[in-house]
Amino acid sequence: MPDFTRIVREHLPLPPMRRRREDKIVEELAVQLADLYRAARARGLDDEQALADALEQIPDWETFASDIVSAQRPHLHGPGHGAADDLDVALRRRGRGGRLVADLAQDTRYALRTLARRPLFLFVVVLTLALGIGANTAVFSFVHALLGAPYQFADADALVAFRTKEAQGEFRSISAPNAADIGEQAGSFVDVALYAITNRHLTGDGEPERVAAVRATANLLPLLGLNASAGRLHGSDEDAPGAERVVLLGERLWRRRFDGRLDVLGQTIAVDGEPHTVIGVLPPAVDSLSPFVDRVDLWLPLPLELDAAARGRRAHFAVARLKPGVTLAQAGTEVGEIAARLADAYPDTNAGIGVRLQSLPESIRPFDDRLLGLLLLVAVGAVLLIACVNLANMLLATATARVREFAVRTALGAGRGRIVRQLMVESLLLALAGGLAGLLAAAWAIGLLVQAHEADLPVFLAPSSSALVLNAPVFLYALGLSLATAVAFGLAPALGASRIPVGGSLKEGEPAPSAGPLGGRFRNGLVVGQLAISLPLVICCVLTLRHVSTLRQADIGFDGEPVIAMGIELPSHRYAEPSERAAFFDRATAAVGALPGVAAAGASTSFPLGDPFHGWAPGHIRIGIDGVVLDRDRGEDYTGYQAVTPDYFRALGIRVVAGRAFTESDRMESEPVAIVSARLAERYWQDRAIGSSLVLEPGSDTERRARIVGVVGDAGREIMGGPPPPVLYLPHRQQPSARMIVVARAAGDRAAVIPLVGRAVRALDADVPISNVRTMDDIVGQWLRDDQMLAGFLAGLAALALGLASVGLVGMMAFVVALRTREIGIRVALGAAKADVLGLVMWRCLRLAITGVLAGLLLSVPIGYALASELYGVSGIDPLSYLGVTALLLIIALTAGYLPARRALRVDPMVALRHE
Amino acid sequence: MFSAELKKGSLELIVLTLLGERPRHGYEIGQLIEGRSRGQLQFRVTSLYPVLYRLETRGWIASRWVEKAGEHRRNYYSLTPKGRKILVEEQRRWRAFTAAVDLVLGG
Repeated sequence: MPDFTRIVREHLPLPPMRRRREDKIVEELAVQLADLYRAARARGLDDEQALADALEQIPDWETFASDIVSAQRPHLHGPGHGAADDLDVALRRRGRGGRLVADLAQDTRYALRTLARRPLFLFVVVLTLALGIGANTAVFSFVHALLGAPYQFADADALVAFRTKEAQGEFRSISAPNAADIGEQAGSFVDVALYAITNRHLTGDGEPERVAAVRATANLLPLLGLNASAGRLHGSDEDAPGAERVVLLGERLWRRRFDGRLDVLGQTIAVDGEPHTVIGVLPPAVDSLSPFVDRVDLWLPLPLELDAAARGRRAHFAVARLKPGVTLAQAGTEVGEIAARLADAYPDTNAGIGVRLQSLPESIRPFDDRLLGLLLLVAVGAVLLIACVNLANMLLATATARVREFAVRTALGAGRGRIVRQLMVESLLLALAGGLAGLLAAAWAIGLLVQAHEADLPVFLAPSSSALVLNAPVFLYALGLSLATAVAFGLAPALGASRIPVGGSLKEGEPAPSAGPLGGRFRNGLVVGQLAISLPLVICCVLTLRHVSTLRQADIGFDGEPVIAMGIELPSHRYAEPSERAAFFDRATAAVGALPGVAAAGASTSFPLGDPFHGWAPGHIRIGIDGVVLDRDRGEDYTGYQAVTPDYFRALGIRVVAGRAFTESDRMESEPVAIVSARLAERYWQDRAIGSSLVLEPGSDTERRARIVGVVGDAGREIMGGPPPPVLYLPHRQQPSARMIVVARAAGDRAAVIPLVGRAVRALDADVPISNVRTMDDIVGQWLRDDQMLAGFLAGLAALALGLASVGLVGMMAFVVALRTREIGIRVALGAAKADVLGLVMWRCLRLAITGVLAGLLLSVPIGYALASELYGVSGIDPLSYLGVTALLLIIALTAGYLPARRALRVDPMVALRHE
Repeated sequence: MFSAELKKGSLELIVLTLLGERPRHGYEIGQLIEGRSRGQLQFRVTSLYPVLYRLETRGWIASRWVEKAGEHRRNYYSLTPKGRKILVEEQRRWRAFTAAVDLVLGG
């Protein structure tokens, strides 16, 4: 006997009403239909015909439902035949007018009811979608912020940056007089503005701090279309030398140090010891002005030095806005011509110098970043695809179970299109729910991420993470993705379900149709597809992880593990004399070296591994070597150098290979000396370095000859995994600097030493700003930050992909095995050994897995080749990684097949035979 | 055989009459109509139930679930006192109507 209660409930589109009333109506009708069915059977009709006979009583469920509803509405008119009937007819007619809307509304109600009846299914699907769509939304919002940052400026495509072309190369900077002349003579620009990026000391209430500062002409911010978010910008009168000192605060600094108080406007603060009046707060958009600083804390006027000497100093950055209608190419040509004229007019400074234009967004966010963004989107899109395959499989499974429902509906005249539409509405509802959940999850996750790493993250991800996610483009992206996802996973099952042949499926126990989207072939294809997509993703992840791990362990030329470092910049107004500066660092290293737990302490003008403190970039000095012609075009006339204290090498653990280290006696008044790194020695002097000499700053006022007294081992890297650079070391007393990095080598417990070091230096002078004390782990970690973030991200994606693919595989296998339970039972009943049957199932499973893995490998190899140039220490087609991942996926696939197969075999064959 | 309008108009009266004899459930009513009219009157489920519900909403009939041994429970309808009064009134009106029509048709 068919389940009429279910049939009525599913087909009668009753509006929401009290549950009891609905139940009663359904029950009564079900009983009625059951009576009709029994009567028909008694008349000799078979199962199927009797059902059709009973259902014939209700040709139009919708009209029936609306009749029932209107019958139960209290009537306003008196009893009688005609009036009531007219009212009913009128009500029905109104419904037919908005047919499509009513139909969709009915589909939605039906879908909601169907979904609500299977809460577990609903939960799993929405969760899967939330993960997939959420991850994609998060990545999109990140990439969007990353690439969109330069577009915070008004009409950013019309903005250009100036670049100077010299024999040594091309530079982002330009000299002020050159820029001013170009601005005056060129007709292509609305305006030209200049700025420089530097540092300043903030003292006064609060800790002394070294902050990033921008000095800019008054027209820069208006040129960019920006205005102060509080207070005002400075005017061109304040750019004049000698004008009253004013400053604007960066938003983060304002909130952090001044609590975001508006009354700080008009107050004075001490910048480099000089009182400056705070006139405004900067908009956050200024932080994207340069890729060199993470954030701008102070904004100061820029008095331009336009004298002849200044023309040779590439001291500033210049930004200009193109006039409407002028293209970058046209302006570039004009600027090139002007530069040529300037070269003729000022041969001393401008000979051989050209000026080039680059679009500002391009100079801030170069193409490589965009490529990276695209790659991230593709990777996370792959995960969503895998999730969709899972969902499609799940929906196919449930569609197969609902075969009878669809057969009945088709028999009752519901067109194929109707069924497809209704199933698509279900998919759409699921996808929208998943999309919404995903959006919220993404917002929450990014919030956590930003909070945890606020110091490290690039500045455009501030100030609020919700701005990152809950803005229009991201919302639209999530919506579009949800819709696409609904189609991706919903269409195939919908099409398959609608194609059910009517006759046979009304009977119970009929095996599921095997052709079309419901067929086994199609589902096999989906499984293979999942494996094929997962494999490249996991391999990329493994390769990246190995790349990062190898990088981390790469030889840096010295044992840095016990090293801690901090950056110190002496306020120039209190340490004006070079000898005072050198003396301070002598005292500082002595004080730190005397601390318990410190084996040795030294200082240097830069760190061997890049610029971890932002502002101690490796310096370069011009040299001359007897008997060697240094190729100016290749920049050989400059070399990287560090000014160091005597104990520096000991502190870092750099070996003295020959000769000696610097000593106390290497002072300003004594003979100029130098120490060279092994690489530098080998390049110019081979083994005759000791005793040779070189000329420092030839042709300048400070030209001097230095004798080489020692050779030390190569230490440091310019890029992780690259070769050690050649380095020249000078005694800090002979090359004093206000800015040095103090390094200390811990004898034992590093952690214990860290707080002591800062305190020791402060004890010498409380007003000297000190950067955070960092360990080598911190420094290397920061250097590898981008790579590590990428690796971590890929690892997360790969784990997600593997998880989803595994779930999909297990589900698929379980379903396939369940379908074949009868077959398995028969085989066992006929005497097949359980092991053989198991082997059969496993073999089928293995075949599927191998196909998937092979397809995946086919995809992976070209990707591996593409990545190869970026990877360090591991090849793009590293056999170990590929083999490992392949093996992993095969094991997962086989386990997915093994578990349900074993369970099926344990079932009593008699039960299995009755199974349907 | 008879037009839908004609049938629709009289169904309420038919149902009330049948329930006037004794309480009945939906299926039974349908069967009785078909049986007593010797197959000339057949009402689908879709016509019958709205009428039953309408009569119930007006308070002319009332329903009650009754369980009988060995069977699924059924919803039995019966006349309310008000319904009984209406039935008498409607029967009288029907007979008057048909008599008048007969007169016109030439009896």
